[in-house]
Amino acid sequence: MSTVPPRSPIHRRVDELAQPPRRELHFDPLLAVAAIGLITCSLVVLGVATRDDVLGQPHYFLYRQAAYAVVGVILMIAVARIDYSRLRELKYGLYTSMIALILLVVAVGTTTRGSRRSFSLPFFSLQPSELGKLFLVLALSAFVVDRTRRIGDRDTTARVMLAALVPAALVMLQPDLGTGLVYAVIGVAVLFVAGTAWRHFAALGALAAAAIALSVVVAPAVGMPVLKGYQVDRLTAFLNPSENPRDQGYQQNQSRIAIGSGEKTGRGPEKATQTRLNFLPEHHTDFVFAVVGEAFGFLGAAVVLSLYALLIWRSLRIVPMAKNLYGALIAGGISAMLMFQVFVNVGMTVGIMPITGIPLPLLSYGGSSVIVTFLAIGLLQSIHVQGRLASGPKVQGLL
Amino acid sequence: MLQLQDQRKAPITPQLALRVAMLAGIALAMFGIVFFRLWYLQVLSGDKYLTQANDNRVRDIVVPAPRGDVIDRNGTVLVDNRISIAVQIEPQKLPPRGPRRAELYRRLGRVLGMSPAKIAREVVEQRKALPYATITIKQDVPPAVRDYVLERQNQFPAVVVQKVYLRHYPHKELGAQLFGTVGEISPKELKMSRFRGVHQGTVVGQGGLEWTYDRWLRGVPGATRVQVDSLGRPKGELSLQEPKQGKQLKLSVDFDLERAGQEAMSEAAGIPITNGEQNRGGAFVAMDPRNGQVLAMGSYPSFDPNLFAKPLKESTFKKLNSVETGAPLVDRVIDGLYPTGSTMKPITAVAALQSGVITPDTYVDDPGSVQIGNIVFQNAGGAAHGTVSLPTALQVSSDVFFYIMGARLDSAPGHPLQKWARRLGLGRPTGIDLPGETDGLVPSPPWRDRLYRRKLTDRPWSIGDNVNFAVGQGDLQATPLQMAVAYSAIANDGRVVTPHIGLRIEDAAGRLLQEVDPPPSRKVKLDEYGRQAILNGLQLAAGSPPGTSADVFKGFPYRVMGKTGTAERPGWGDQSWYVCYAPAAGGKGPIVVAVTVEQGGWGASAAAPAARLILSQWFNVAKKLVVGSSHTR
Repeated sequence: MSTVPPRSPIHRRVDELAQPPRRELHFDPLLAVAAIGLITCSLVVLGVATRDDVLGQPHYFLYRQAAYAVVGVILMIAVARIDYSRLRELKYGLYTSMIALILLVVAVGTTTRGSRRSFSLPFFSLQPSELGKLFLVLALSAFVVDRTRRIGDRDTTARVMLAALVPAALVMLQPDLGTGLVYAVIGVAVLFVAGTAWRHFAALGALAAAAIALSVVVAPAVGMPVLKGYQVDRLTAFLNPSENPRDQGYQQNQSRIAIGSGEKTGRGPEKATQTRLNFLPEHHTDFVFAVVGEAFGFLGAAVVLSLYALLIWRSLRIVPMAKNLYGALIAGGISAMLMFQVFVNVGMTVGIMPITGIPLPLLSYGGSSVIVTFLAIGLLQSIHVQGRLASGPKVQGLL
Repeated sequence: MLQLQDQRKAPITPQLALRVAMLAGIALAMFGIVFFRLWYLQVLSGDKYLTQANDNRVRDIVVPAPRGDVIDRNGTVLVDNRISIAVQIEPQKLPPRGPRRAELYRRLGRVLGMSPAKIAREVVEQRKALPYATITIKQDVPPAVRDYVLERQNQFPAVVVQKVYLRHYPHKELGAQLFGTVGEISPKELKMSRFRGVHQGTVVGQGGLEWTYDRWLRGVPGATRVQVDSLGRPKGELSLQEPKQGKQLKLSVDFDLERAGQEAMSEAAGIPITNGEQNRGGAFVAMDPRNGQVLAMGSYPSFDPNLFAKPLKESTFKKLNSVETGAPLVDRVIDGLYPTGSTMKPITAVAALQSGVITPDTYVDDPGSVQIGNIVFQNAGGAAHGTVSLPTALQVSSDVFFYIMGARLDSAPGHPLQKWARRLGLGRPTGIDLPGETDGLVPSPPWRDRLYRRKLTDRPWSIGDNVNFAVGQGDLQATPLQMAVAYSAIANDGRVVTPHIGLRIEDAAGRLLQEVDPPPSRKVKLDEYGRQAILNGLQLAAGSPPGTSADVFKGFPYRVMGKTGTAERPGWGDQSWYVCYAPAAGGKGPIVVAVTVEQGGWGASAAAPAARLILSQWFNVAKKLVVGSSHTR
């Protein structure tokens, strides 16, 4: 081969076309395995956890989650087949529709436990802030690609972060602190993958610290609380567990008891009293991981975490495989989003992170969360497929 | 490798590779942390959390045990229990003061037919008394109310509906002061050794026999272990330990005699007396002189102890202790402190005989009055009895004879009158198995001189004090029970018994579990000849004219040896006393009866007739109220 002079890509292309088409696996099978494995775990766990939640309908949440899973898988396959690069043209449309949806939900959304996060649709309630996460990844990545040459500028960093923080602030106003933080993390992650200078991150870190200090300490002191009282309680609850059921620390304490009581192999679905007798709050949504820990023990938790590890490994692996910077940024943003959600949620249930109300991707019950996560994985698959198509079969990924 | 140059794809920059690797590193670190945390929670401290999870789901609900019954010596039930449905509030679960609590009171008030303000008042008052105990809002609610509240637990936070056992006194006023009350254990009592092992919220004896025999009457509370959800709603029972009823307490009291006594008191208090006053109180006690078994005792006026089954209002409690109502809560048998009048004379006689001041055959002239020091002491009504020896002096209740005894005993060495009064049981608690007994007072030179030194009295001891003491006047304070004990000692060859009411502890079927330890009795040595002279005098007094109570006991078929007493109480009308001993007869054992009627006038007018009624019951003789005419102290 080395003696043969290199041929132009056009010639190669022609050669390839001349050959009979090979049936190639362009999508990432392990990523798909991780996603399907997690949604399967979700169905098993919800079946256990929600049996007594809706009177007379022991499978209420199970069936609904299964329906979301089917819709999600179909959408994932569909998205995997399109070329994500086309989405770059829609960046302004995506961004403005995201902002519009978030504003709309604040105006006319359904109030659940004091916050407006969703629209009630006939069959399910749409949570725009979940869909917004994906739109934000797509739009921000496009903005950064447009400014590739000025990636080291302070101006670029500031604009991208502003574009991320505006919807983040709107979501926090719903109020949904956790999802708002996810938006901020997406902004940082996109900049990080794009190669923004370290000193910019240092400055962002300092700003964040100042903002936290201002909102938690200074603003309430001068009579303008930024966070609601319960939010501050929740954020600090993991520092002081409580026996009082009305306190936030109680939830986390019960979650810890649930997980701990599972021991090595779990108490089994029947004897999982923390879940079945309702001591564990929100056991089908935010605290679903504690159900895994109680019913299936360390073993079950390790299986679920391994699936997440697989998911995140495969996502990160796609970043350098992308055929263009846009793909790399999207993959980076999505990977960071998944990492952040998994770690914050699991950390919350085991008592090392504050309660922020972030769902566990694919495991927590919830149509918006499940479908959006499948869409995100569909996008990763699309990047993978496009990367493979562009580089040919022999080039392996970095990792 | 050459193919790389052909790619349209942007090459992987080292910077991108580094950053992705860093993200991977962060992910790895995070998973590491989570895995370690899970290992710590589930593997290293799993046991601890499993225990906590199990504790979480079970609640032990205490099921109160009914207290043991109290029965009389023949098995008649005096105190038992009845079941009541009570609506209670657990104060620690109450919503905070404000609209939510007001709403709860309003809702509860509508169901119970009480005003919200009344409920709030109950909560405040009962919380003041016992800060952590459940607060009883209403007892004896109909089952419909119970079901209504139980089905709507979420609307009634902190409200519990419980089956409770209430003490029930089928005979109402009868012997009410004996039994005492029951109530939830107080924080102070929880620390007492006698309540060791008793849980908070348990109902324990708070007075009377309920207090003394609480150990046996209390019972063992049971427990229901239920599985509950996070809201405390029961989700299935796990196990049950049945409560054990307390033991049955058999008393030495004879119910029929008790009732006769109570009726006698009521009749005696109702006897018209010339200087008669309203609300005359009184007390009686009947005792077996051989062993101190109390056969009946009662205090008048009495009250219905069923009042105490429910939490008592402070105002009611005050009323029951006030002078206007005659303070029915006070057990005058052990707490009534009175001068005894002439019923003291046999005790004086013992002191005089034992110290050798007189012999049974010593004659003393009674001209109707005697001058001792510079005071002239007179017989009641100034009657002159002529030359009398001890039996006659007792028969006619010659004051002059005993004035002279008092004077002689005052100068005798070692204060024999005080010594013998104490030996026979005056001036100290008798040791009866009831809490709160008083000492009484035996006046003595050291006592008065001490008061004088402290400027609490205007003069030191003088011979006149002893003269007054000798006839049961002056500073003497004694309870009817002390008098009964002293007479028992004289009747029973010097055996000073410790009176007791509890006889034995039985199981529900009446099988003996434990005999109440017969309390120890002391024995004082009495000269037999002198003792017979005293009994002889007492028999003459009750059985042969001009004996002071001879007309009262006219026609009574059995021997009675009794002494009237008319005690002067400064600020009150004269107090009527009668203490007597009747030897075993007609198939019945011996009995000592002491009766006192406040403001009852002469001893023969109120107390002696009551004593006759009591003795009639004991010896199965037709009851007849005979008011005596003797006007002697």
